[in-house]
Amino acid sequence: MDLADGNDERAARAVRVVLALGCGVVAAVLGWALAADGSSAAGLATEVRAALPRSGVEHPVTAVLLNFRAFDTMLELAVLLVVAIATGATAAVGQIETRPDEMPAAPSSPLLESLVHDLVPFAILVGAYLLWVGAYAPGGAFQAGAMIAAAGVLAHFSPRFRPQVPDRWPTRGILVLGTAAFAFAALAALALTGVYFAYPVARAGAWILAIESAATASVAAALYVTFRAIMPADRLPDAQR
Amino acid sequence: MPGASRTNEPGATRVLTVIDLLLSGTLVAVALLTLGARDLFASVVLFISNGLLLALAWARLGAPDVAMAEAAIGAGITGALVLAALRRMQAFRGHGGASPPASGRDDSGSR
Repeated sequence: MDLADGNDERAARAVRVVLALGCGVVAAVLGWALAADGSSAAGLATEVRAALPRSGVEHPVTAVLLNFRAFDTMLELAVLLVVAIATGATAAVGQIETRPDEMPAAPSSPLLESLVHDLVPFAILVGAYLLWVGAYAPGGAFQAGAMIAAAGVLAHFSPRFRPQVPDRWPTRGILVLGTAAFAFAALAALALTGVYFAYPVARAGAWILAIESAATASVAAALYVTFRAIMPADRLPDAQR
Repeated sequence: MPGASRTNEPGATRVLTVIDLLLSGTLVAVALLTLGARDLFASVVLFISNGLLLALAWARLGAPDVAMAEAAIGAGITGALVLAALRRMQAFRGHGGASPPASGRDDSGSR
């Protein structure tokens, strides 16, 4: 037994050494690439600034994410969707193994209750503000979605305010909404302007706000559903699966 | 870069340089502590701290968008996810017969 433990520990240490060496090599290659290639130092900032009036928003980062490189952002949302689906699929497996009835109930303190009661609405408001302000200043769908998901995570620890996740289809609909909005916008733009993902210039701002709202809902739902799938279920008076 | 400091006074620049150096040094130190911590719970807490320091670093680099995403997703949500995973691991160990580690305290209410 001791021998096996010793071997395990030695194997784990060997894995760590290999990982550390691998990380060192990757860091060295990245550093070398950065030092060797000075050509791209200026980036595409000038081009972005020149095209900004036609993007529909005033903040260059949002213009790149939602207009000039909208396809990449759609793929990021698809990645989040896949994460939510994958962790959701493993959630049930773990719950059987951990036997939820034997997990200690989450401690419910008056402090936590009042914190959730006061902070969650404010956090959701900040999320909505971040979504709106993304057109002019730093902010946007991912930050807003993360903020709202964080409100959900906070509320999750309070038995009184734990969010109710609607069954199957509504949840799936919200999860898919962001990616679907991007895909729909791409095809609608193709039909209207003849170019994939090129929104009509006059109404580009409205298009971006609509897509970002859908993306915010999906990001928030995907992050919270993922957290809920990983968090072991504990005993609650009104325990939902 | 937009948002980068445009202070021209030498005193302010020197203070900012000191802050930058402290920030970089702390980032590397906290990263090493995160990897080296024996207690997984301590590791998670250090990981979240590292995420917040990284957000400060992004802000100093003049990238407030990335800083906000790092603080919200990298430190906040990922921290909650890792804490949830840790709690689940402890639940597994509690039923697997192996004795729970020293970090087996109840930390569910901490976030």
